[in-house]
This record gives sequence, structure tokens and C-alpha cells, in this order.
Amino acid sequence: MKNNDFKNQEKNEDFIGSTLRTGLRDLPQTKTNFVSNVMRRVEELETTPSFPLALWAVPAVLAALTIAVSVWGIQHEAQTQSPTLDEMLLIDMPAETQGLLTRSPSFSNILWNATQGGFLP
Amino acid sequence: MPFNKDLRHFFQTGPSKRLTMKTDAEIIAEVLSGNKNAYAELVLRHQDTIRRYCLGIFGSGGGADDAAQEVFIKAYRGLSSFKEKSAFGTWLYRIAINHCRDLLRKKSRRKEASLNQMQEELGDAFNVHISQAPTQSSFAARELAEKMLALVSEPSRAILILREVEGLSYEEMTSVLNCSLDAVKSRLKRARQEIEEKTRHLFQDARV
Repeated sequence: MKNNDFKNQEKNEDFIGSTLRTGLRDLPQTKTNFVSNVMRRVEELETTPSFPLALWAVPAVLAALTIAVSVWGIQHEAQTQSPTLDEMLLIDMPAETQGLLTRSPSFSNILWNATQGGFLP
Repeated sequence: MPFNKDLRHFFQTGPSKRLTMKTDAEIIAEVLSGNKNAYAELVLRHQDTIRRYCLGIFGSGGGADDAAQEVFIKAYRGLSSFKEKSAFGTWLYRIAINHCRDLLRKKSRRKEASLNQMQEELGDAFNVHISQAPTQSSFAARELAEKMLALVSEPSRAILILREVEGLSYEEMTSVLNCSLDAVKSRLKRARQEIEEKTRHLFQDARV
């Protein structure tokens, strides 16, 4: 009985195999040429930028802009708010002294030269 | 120069499905060096196997040709990453298997026919097929084959097409399915059992 079942199963599998082969051997005719359709798509790929690329470009441009604005902001803040060494040295000096000292190109340079020449300790 | 005029001869080719004696690897090198039109030769050579695979997975009304086109587009996009460790045809099969699997996953969200309904349809297709003369039965045979495959799971469908329809050797299947020889054998055995169980009712009355 078991032997019969096994034989039947084998026959069924043979039938299945041959049915699949016969059924899928001949491909249905297509309305348009398959190769030309693929090549048209290939040509489209070559001429149009792909949408995912554009999707990647948007955040990349936004990130670059953010970084550029941040760097500019930091530089601008440093230029406008931080006092120079000259400005720091002139704080709390009498107005006449300030006027005298600021005529020279750089008060800090004078101080530096004086230190180097031994005029100041 | 528009490729359509350039390649008209490709589309008027007869049954040989091969225009040059170049190997697939040589054509790929040509495409990668800038001659995009050479890709048509690769499509021409491999279109039948990929179309047949997609037909077996989706059936005639399931957008099989659209899926097959998409496989070739994906292959074209990834051509520069093709390493030639395997044959181009094997690589193409892998793309087809993954693409069809993705599509089926998306389609499975939609409502599908019940197993009973599918088995009823299969019975009708079987009766039409056996009642016709072999010369007339091309359409009926295809319908029966499609309905039989529709009853089984996607992995079973894939392995049955590769083995029974395309006639791939076990070694080729290990490369396409990226698994061991033992795994291929056991998966094929399971697939055969699955389709045999689900179509057994056909053989109870009629033995061909």
C-alpha cells in the first residue's frame, strides 16, 4: 500500500514537472517589444536625474547652508563683540593719555617693543 | 544619436536571440565604457529566462513583464557592481528573485483569493487542459501551470521554476539561491511535496 502511494506521488510529481515545463515554455506575446521598452527606460535613466538623488540633495544642501551660516555667525560675533588688546589696555586710562597713545598704529606693539628693548620690566 | 534608430536591428532579430559572438562579460565592459546601446544585446539574450521566471511567480495577469523590465533596469543600474564571480545570468536571477519577493510582499497586503477558490479555478483549468488536443493547448497549459504555481508559497514557486522549468543544475541553484547543496535539495523536496499536496485532488479522478 505504502509502495503504491509512493509510486503515485512520483507520478504526480512527474506530471507537475512536465505541466510546468509545457505551460511556461512559450512566453505570451507582448504588445510592445520587450527589449525596446527596457532600452527606452535605460535612455530615460541617462537623461533624467533620479528622484532619490534629488531627495538626498535637499538635506545635504540644507546641512551645508546651516554650517555656513553658523561659521559666519561665530566669526561675525567675534569681530563685533570681542575687544582688541589695544582696547583692553586703554580701559580706565585718562582721556588725554588715551588720545596720545592711540595716535600710534598699535599701542600693544609699543608695549611689546618697550619690553624687548629693556625699557619696561 | 537616438538609440531607437540605432538599434532597430535588435528588435527585428529572429529566433537566434544573439547578435554577436561576444561574451556577456565583454558586452558588460562595453556598456561600462560608455556604449549604453550594447546593453540591448544582454537584454535580448536573457529576456526569456527572466520573463519566464516572473511569469511563473506572478502569472499572466499579474504584471510579470513589468516586473521583468524592472529587473533589467535594476541590473543596468548596478552593472558597475557586478563582480563576475558568477555568470551574468546567475546574477540576473538573484536580482529577479529579490525583486519578485519584494513585489509579492507589497501585493500580499491586498486581499487575495482564498485557497478553496484557487483550487476550484485550478480544477477548471485542469479540465480545459486535458480536454484539448496538444496542439491547441498552449494557452490552457500555461493557465494550468500558472494556477498550480499560484497555490504554493513564493520560495517553493521560485525553486520549482528554476529546477522544473529552467532546468538549472543543483550547482547552479546553489549559486542563484546562495545556499548549500543540501539546502537546495531539501528546499526542492519540500517544494515538490507542497505542490503535490495542493494539487493532489486533480489526480484522484484523472491520471494522465
